[in-house]
Amino acid sequence: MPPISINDTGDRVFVVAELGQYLVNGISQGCLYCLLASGLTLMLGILGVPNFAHGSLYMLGAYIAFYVVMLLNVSYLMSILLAAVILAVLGLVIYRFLFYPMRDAPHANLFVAAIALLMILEGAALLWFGGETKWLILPYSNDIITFGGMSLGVQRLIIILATLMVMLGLELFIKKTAVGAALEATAQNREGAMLCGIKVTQIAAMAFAIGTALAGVAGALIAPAVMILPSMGLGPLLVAFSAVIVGGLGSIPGAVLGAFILALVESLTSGYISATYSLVFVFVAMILMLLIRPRGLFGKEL
Amino acid sequence: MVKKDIYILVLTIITLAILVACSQPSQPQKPAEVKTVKYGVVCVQSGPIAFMGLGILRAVQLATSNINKNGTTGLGPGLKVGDQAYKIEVVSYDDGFDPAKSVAGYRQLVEMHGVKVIQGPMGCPCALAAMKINEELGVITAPLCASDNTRKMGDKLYVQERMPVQHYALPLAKAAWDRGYRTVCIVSDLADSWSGMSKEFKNQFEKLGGQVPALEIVDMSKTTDYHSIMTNFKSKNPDIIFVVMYDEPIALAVSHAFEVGYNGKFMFPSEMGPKTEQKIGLDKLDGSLVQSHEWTLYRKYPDMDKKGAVTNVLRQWKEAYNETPAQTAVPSWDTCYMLARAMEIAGTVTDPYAIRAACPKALQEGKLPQLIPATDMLDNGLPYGAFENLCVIKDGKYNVIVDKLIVPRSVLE
Repeated sequence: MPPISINDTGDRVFVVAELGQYLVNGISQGCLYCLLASGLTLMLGILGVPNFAHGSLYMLGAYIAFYVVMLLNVSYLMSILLAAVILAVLGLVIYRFLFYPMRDAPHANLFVAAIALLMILEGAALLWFGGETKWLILPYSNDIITFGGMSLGVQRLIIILATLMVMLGLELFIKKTAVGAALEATAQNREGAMLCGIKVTQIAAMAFAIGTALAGVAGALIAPAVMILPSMGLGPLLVAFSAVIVGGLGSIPGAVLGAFILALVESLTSGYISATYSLVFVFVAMILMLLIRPRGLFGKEL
Repeated sequence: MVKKDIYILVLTIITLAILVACSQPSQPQKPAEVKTVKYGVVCVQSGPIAFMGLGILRAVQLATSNINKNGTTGLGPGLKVGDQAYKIEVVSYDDGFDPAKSVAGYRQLVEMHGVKVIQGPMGCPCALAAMKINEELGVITAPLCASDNTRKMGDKLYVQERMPVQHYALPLAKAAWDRGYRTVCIVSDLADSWSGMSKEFKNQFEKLGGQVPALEIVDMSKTTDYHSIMTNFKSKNPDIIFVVMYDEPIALAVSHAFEVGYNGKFMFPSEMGPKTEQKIGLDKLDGSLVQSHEWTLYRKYPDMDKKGAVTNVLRQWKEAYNETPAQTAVPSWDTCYMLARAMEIAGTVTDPYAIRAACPKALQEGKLPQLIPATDMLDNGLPYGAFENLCVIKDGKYNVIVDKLIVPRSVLE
C-alpha cells in the first residue's frame, strides 16, 4: 500500500496521483471484465453452464472491428455496432445448433461442448486470420488525456463511456420491458417461467444473443488498445468468470460489481506488490470473498 | 588412280564410322536421380505467440525453397552431398509452446520421417526439454533459446541459433551509464534468456553505481495490461525503462507507459522492430536506445544493405506470406543455411555428428547468404561473430552509436 505518513505536500499529491492512476487503470480494465461477465452470467442463468467459448467470441469481436475499420474503411463506431450484430447472430446460431439440441443433456456434456467450441473458434481464427498479431490503429490511438496528475488513453476513455452506455441500456431493457422481465424470470427460474407462459426457448436464444453481442462489443472496444490474437480471450475470460462467481451466479449487478472489484485488485497489486503475481491475488481475493459470502455478492440461495 | 581414290574413300568412311561410334555412348546415360532429405521444424504455430513460431517455420520453408532452387552457395539447385543431389523437404510439428509437446514433436519427426536435423523449438523451456532427448534420438537440435545455460549442458548435437542475450547486458549497462542514465526500471519476460539478461543488466548497472528501483518479470505471452507496471515505474522517476521482450509486447508495454503519462526514454533489445515502429512510431521514442543488428537497420534502410541479403528475404517473404517476418525468422534463416551447407561439407545427410562437426566450417567459409553473419561456431554450439550494435533513436531514425557490442570469445566458450 502507499505510504501513509507523508512529509510534504508535493509527495502527498504524487502519492495520491499514483493511487488515482491505479484506480483509473483498474476501472478501465474493469469495464471490459464487466461487459464479458454480464454476458457470461446472462448465459449462465439460462443454460446453467458457463460458456467457455465466451473469450473466443470476444476475440472475434476484436477481429471484426479490425477488418471492418482497416479493410472496409468503415468508421470505428460502426465497427462496434457491426461486431455486436454479427456476434448476436453467431450467438443465435451457436445456441440453435449446439446448446439447444443438448438442452436436456447432462451438464457435463454442455461443459465439454463449450470447451470444444472454444477450441474450434480459436483454431478457425488462427486459420482465417493467421498467427500474426494485428493492431487496430486509429487516428487518436496515441492521444492521452491528463487530469489531476493522472493520465488516460482516449481509447480507454471510450471503453469506460461505452461500457456505461451499454450497461445502462441493458439495465433499462431488463427492468423496463416485458421481454426483459421475461429474460430475468427465465434466468432466475426456468420452470417457473415456463409455467407463467414465457416462451423459454425464444428467451434463452435471446439471452444467448445478448450475451454474445456483449462479448463482441467488448472485443471491438478493446481492439485498438491491445494486440489482436486468436487466443486473446483466455486471460480476460478467466477474470470475468471469477467476477461472475464473486457477484453471484446469474446476477448482472453482481457480475458488474465483481468485475470492478477484481480489476481493482489486479491493478493495485500489480502496482504496489508485483505484476508477476497479480492474477494470483485476483484469485485469492475471489476465494476470500467466497469464504465470506459463499453465494457471491448477489447470489441466489443455493 | 581410281583404285587409290577408292582406297582413300573407304579409309575415310571407316575413320568417320569409328569417330561416330566413339562419340556415341555405348548405353544412354541417365541423369543422377535427385533424392529427398527431410528437415524438421518443431515450433509453436498456434496460440498467443504463434507469429514468432511461424517466423521460424516460414524462414526454414523459404530458405529451403531457395536452397532447392539455387543451392546453399548459389552453385546450382539443391544440396550437393558427394555426387548425390538432394532436395530438402520440410516437415513440421506444432508444439503449442508446450515442452511436453516439443518432446512429442521430436519423437514424431525422427520416428516417422527419419529427420536428422530439427530447428526449434522456440523458447527455453521447450528447448531444454528437447535437449534432454535429442542425442538419444540421434538428431541435431537447433532451438531458438538465447539462454546462457543451454551451452553448458554438454549436448554434442546442439546448435544454438543466436548468442545468449545476457552477455549483452554489460555493454548495454555501460552504454546506458555513459549516456548519463543513472536510474533504470526494467520489465522483462520470464523466459530464461530474457530474465537472465534483465538480472545481469541490473547487476552490472548497479556495479557501475546506477540504480534499478523496479524489476518486473512477467509472462509476455499472457500479459495484456502493462498500465499498472508502468504507473509503478513512473513513480520511480527513472531515466529509462528497459523493456526486455519481443517486438509485439514491447509495442503494447510502451503504449501503456505513454497512456499512464510516462514521458521518458526507453531501452530495447534487438527484438524491437516493425510492430513497435508501426504502433508507437519512432518519432515518439526520441532518445531511446535500441540494441540492434543488420536486420534492424537494413530492414528500415534498404540502401544500407550492400549485399542485399536482408532486402532479398524481405521481398521474398512479402511475396510468399504478404507480411513482414517476426524477428525469429532471422536466426532461423541463417541456421537453416548453415546446417544445409554443413551436410554438404560433411558429405552426409544421415550422420548428425558429422553434420554438427561441419557447422564451424560452413560459417568460416563465409559463402552463405546470412542475414546476421556469424563467422564461427563454438564447440558448445554457440554461433560466434555476429555482434549486435547499439542505436539511439533520433529524429525518427535509428543512429548507430556503438558499432559492435563485442563479447569476448573466452566468455562464451
